[in-house]
Order: sequence, then C-alpha cells, then structure tokens
Amino acid sequence: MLQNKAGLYRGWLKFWNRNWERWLYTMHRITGVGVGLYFVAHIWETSYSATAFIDVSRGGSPIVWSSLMNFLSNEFFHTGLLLVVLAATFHAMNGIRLFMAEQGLLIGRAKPPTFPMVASSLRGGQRYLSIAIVIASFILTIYAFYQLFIIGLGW
Amino acid sequence: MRQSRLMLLQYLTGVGIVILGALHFALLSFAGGGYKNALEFTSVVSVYTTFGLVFELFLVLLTYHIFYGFKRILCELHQGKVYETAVTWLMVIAGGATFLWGTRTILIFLGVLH
Repeated sequence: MLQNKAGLYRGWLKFWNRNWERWLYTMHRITGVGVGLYFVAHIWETSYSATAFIDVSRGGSPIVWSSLMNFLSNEFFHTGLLLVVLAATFHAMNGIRLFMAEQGLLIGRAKPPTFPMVASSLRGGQRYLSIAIVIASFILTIYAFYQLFIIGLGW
Repeated sequence: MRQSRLMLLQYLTGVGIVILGALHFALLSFAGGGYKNALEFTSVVSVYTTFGLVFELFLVLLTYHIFYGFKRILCELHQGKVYETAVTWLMVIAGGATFLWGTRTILIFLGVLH
C-alpha cells in the first residue's frame, strides 16, 4: 500500500505549487471524502421515508417525511446539495479517467526521458480529458442548480 | 484478499456507481418529473418499490467504494500495524452499520420488513 511519508499537509493538502495532475489528485481526495460523508447522512435521511411508509400503512399520514422535506427545502441545504453534485460528478468522471490511465488508455506512447521531462499522463489525451472532466462537472452542476433552485425552490 | 484485488474491486465498484448514480440523478430530475415532484411521498414510494433491488445493488457498491476509500486514505498515514488493523475494523463496522441501515429502508418498502 502507498505510504504518505510527507504527512497530512505536505503529502495531501499542499498542492497549489504543483502540476495540474496533482491538483486533480487532491480534489479527487477531497471530493471523495465529502461525498462519502454525505452518503452516510443520506442513508440516515432517507430512512425517514421508511418511517413515513410504515405510518401510512397503519392508516396515518407521511408527516415525518413531509416535515423533514420542509426542513431541508431551503437555500442553505440546496447549496449543500449543489456542492455534493459538483463533488460527485467530478469524482465520478475523474475516477473513470484514473481507471483508463491505469489500463494504459489515452496516455500516449512511451518516450525516452528527454529534457524537459513531462510525464506522459500530463500530455495528449489524458490532459484534454482532464480538462473536459472539469468543464463537464460544472455543466452538470448548472443543470443541478436549475433542478434545485428553479424547480425545487421556485426561484 | 490481496491489495491489488481489493483495488481492482474499488475501480469496478466505481464504474458501477457511475452507471447507477446516473440513474439516481435522472430519477431525481428529468425522469422523476423534476426535483420537487420526485421528492413527493407518493413518488418516493413508487421509486423505491420499482427500483428497490437496484438501490440495494447501488448501496452495496457505494458502501464498499466509500469505506474502502476511507480505509486507504487513513492507512496511507502509515502509523503502524496496530493502527492499520484498527482502521480496517473501524471501516468494516461503520460500513456494515451503514449498509444495514440502508438495507432496512429498502426492505421496508419491498414489504419484507414491517
């Protein structure tokens, strides 16, 4: 297994003076942890729908679900969801790029190490793909903004 | 299991999550009649009863991918064998609890639990 001998700050978080791929690496980590923590909260949140389902099957009303939805339906929580969408779409598409790189796809042919030395993963297809991923993440987030704020909150 | 196999599983669950995540995204937006309609109680019941088993598969893939991801990140700090074992078990327990709680929700909608 990989070892982060440089520690939490230099090993993971200090990326602003590094190359583009290092930025993607750190963002992949941050978005992964963020979406992972959201997942746990989401499992807890959606269990309220099951409670409401039981209430309805016993002749009651889905008041637990409705009150939770009313509580969550505001600018604060929808902004949070928007960040989750941005993080999830970036993490998903960058993950596919990493999988492709691991399989040797779009990294170009091996070249002799001549000056200035640039990793093959930072040239050609992988570089363009990484830029496309960032743009596509923002486009999907704009669509999520439309769903969450225009349709969801009636802006 | 060897780390390389676990990592391959991490990649494969990731691909599955992208496919099922796209379905989840669609059901909460254009395929669900818009975000507001998709979260109406009747829509939620309809989605869970129709896609319950798909959601269960989604839950399995997500639980593995997320908690194995957490484990890898924490183990990279390399604090020794005891630390690694503790992190592994912590992630197994936390992942197991999350999976069981999500499964409970799905089973209630499928009528298996009451």
